[in-house]
Amino acid sequence: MKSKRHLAREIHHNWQSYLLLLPACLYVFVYGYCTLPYALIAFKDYNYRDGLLGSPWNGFDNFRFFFNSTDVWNVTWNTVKLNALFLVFTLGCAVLLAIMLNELHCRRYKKLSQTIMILPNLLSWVVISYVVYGILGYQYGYLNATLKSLGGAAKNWYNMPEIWTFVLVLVRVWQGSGYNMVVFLAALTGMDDSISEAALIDGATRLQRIWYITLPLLLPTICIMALMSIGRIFNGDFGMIYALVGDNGILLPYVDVIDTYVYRMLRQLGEPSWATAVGLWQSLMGFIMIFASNWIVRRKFADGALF
Amino acid sequence: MAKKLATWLLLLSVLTFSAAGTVFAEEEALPMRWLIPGEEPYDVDMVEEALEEMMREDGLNIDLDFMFFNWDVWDQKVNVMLASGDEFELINTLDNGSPSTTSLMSKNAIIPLNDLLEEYGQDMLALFDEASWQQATINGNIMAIPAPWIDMKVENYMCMRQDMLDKYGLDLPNTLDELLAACETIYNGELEETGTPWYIALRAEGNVGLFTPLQRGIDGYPFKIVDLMVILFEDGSAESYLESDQFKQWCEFAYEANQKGMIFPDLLSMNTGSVGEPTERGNFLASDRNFTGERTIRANYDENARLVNFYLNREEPTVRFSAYPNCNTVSATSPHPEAAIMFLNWLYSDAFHMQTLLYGIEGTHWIDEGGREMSYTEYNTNEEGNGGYQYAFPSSWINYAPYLRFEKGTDYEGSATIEYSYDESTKTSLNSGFMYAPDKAAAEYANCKSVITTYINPILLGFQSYDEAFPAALQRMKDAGLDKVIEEIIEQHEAFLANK
Amino acid sequence: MDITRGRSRLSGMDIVCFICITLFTLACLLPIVLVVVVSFTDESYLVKEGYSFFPRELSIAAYEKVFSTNPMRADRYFLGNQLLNSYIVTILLTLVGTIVSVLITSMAAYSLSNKQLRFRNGFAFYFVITMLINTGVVPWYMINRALGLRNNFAALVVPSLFSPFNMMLVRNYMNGLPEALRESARIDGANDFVICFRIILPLSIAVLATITLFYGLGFWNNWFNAIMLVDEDSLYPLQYYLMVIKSQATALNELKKLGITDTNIVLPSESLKMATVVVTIGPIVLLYPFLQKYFIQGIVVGGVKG
Repeated sequence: MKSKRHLAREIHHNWQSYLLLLPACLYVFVYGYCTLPYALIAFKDYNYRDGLLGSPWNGFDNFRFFFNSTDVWNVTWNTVKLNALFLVFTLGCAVLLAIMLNELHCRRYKKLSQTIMILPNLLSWVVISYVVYGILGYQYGYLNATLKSLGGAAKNWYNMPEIWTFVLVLVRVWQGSGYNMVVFLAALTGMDDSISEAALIDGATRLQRIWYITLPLLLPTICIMALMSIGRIFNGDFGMIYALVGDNGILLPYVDVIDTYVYRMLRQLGEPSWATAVGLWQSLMGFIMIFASNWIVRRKFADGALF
Repeated sequence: MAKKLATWLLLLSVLTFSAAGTVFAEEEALPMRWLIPGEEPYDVDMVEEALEEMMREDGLNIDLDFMFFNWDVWDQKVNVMLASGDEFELINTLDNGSPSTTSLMSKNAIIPLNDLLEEYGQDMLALFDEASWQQATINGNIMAIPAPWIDMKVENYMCMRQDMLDKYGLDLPNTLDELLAACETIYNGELEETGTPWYIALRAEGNVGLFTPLQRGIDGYPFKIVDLMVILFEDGSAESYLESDQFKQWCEFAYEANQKGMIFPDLLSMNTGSVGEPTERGNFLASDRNFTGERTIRANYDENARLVNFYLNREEPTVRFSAYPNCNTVSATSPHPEAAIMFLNWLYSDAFHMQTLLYGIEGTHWIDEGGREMSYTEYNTNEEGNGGYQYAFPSSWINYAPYLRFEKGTDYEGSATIEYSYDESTKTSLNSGFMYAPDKAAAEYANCKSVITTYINPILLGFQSYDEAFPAALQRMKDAGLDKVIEEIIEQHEAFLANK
Repeated sequence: MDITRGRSRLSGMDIVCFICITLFTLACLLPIVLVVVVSFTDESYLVKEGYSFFPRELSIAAYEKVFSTNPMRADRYFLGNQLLNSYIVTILLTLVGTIVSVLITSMAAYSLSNKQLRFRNGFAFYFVITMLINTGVVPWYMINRALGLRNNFAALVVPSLFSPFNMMLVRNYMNGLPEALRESARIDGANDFVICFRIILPLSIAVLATITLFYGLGFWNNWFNAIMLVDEDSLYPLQYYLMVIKSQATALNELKKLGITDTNIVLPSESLKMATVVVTIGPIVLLYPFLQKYFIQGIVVGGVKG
């Protein structure tokens, strides 16, 4: 009974905060939790006539097509590897850009460059694939045209799998850094200057100030961004990979991710319960990852933890 | 007394009115909702009304509703409508498309039509030939209404530049070797002269487009390839395609063409609509059939261009491997599926009905110029319309080829004869209409499909040599369950032949 | 900003920063410039030569197509113009959506950063979990239908109204504000509403501007809600309208291939795709500077020192 009294007291004491929290909670309940029952079709022999409730259960059968397939572990490894690289490089670049932009003086230049840096994120992956093709294409691509004018030979970049991890990371950094940089800029703006001033008086160089003061203050934000990305590390970026790589069989063993792999397998079969099964597994893995990382972060550095 | 009279009067009037009501009440119009991929034409409401009017004159009370879904979200929207049980009557499907007829059937989304056709579809039953109905029948149930808008023998035809053949003094090729030699001559010649390479227009998916016409040059023709896994011969036999000689011969051809630079180097990455694709401007060594593009190429890119459509292996007559490319199926969620059959039957019963659907209202949108000719009205072709037209219905979703009309002044003689009319000299293959419905081997089928795209496709298009890359690729196919899928396909094929 | 603003001498550090930022900015700019140039390129030139920074044939056919309007259907749209109608719809839904989103998000973030709330971590968990599971389009569609969000303005706004990701950013920022602020306010007798709206939110302008940007862009670019939930012509937002134009261009090419019609003109298709991109990005480039002052200038964290 003690806990009940505590609960009542808690709500009574903080009812305003709970009220402020209410709209968001309701929204997430409706869109996030009320949609969950549909995930059950992953365990059913789903057909349209019987629907969610009428279709018979079939245990883990729907997972079999994926886990028994030949490239499943290769594709999973690609997904995790690519996502990890994207995470590290995009966030790293965003932090660097934010710090550097912060160090500049000319306001108009800062505004202009910031506006431009955010533009790549506004392009859809299809448009970006045209741009990449315009650079790496065999006949008309800029890279080959430059090589030829310098006396070298044109290369078939789209059929060279070794470079594509690099290309994808590069494109992702180009597309995402400017956008993520805004978050870090906001964090930097809100920082208290008194510590920096004190350090300057003590004779610290700019580099030292950045390394010992600015970065640690940015760390909570970096942690949050990283944690949220880690939760989706098993979810491949379908839009990006499908637009840039498409069905190029030579590149696929190196850059194929779970989402494109499943899409290709089910394109003509159209089994919604199979696709849902894989999605569920990805969510479970994301769950585990985010729990583990959050626990580690919390041990070392409570401010950066998600929960 | 007055009260009694009043009550009786009231009762009488009520009875009279309700009787009158039942006599004069309009019979509830049956809804006919049709899911169609593509963009909605501007005047669709107008045409819906006109069609409903025409149907009423023929005694049918149907309320039409054409629901167009953009191609980008077609898959998702259809899935959503099916999953949430939204009602609709008709949906357009492709045999190998998304959703395919077989996948809809296995998910119980569509209903068998045997009884409905008996009762409401007599005109259609008489109009379409045996082969069409066989293709639409799976396990004894007619699952689809054919939409034979083109004679499938067109798959035999390919296209080359006649002016190029003349320029280099070449004869029209009849075998794969002659084709390769002719292409090589043109390629080397043009490369030297203009510096731009010309290409053989194979397509990125490998086994579509130009792939089919070129099979005529492979030994053992005629044969039908099912899902790139099984090859069916005219004597009823079947074997694994990937392990066959036919596959080996094809790969050697593709590899040689690729080594000589005649295949577009970025082909594997090309999604449809890539900028700068050489074939669009007519710079192709060989492409799949093109009956109508000559005028545009001459006007915009090369005024000397002349196209010739022909088929290889001319000693062998042309063959049809399927009866129709598209079909329409009836949804299981419909409360009145007979409306769909009645509507379709009415459409197919008269060419004019179909033409009203395809081209719009005669007089407003198009003018009958006699025979198979028509012309668009000023009103219809004002540039502001839907892609240039106020009304144009995509005819690949419904049509019967002989009902098609051509714009007056279009050079359609060639195509009208070949694409849109049925001729007797074409053979219909023994295996025409066979479709594989993945059932017990569905997981292996999915896996094989993926392995084909990743490991077989590059060999199929000549980017990797058969001798070097194929053994490993074949092993991967076997690991993916190829043998099990082949077994099931052959089993279904035998049942198909037995049912004929 | 550098607190040593008084100095006029450029240090090596300044030069390095300047070069790096400039390089990255150029790298971001050039492809955009290419997109703009292609949108003004003649279509048959594109087919012949591919993309080029200096095409020899220009044309505005693509923009003509985008800005054209069908006089036959003028009565369905605001002022008779479909493009104008869709712009207005998009602007309205972005404004309404962004304001409501930022409000909901910041209120929730405040509560989660309130150290007096015993269950705040539990709630954080509650929100984060939904970021991990995505059940797909079907249940989303059914929920929207059940809520009556079909064919009305709300259907364009409500399904995208809240993102737990953005809320975490705000919460994090608020966690970084000195606790002393809240304590002293409470001692002065202020309740949570006052603390939230009068003290914490004003101090969080930087991060609020950030999520305003994120939500704003999200609403501006959204076409999915329209395409799945709306059939009414006059409610189509900009992105959906542009998508329809692109499909129509492809549709006409298909008609030509079927041999039904035989026009010789090469219609804008590639250049049209790029023109639609320009039409979308254009307004953002023009309006973004207004938001920027919140992250460039910097707000002095007043109140409590030491």
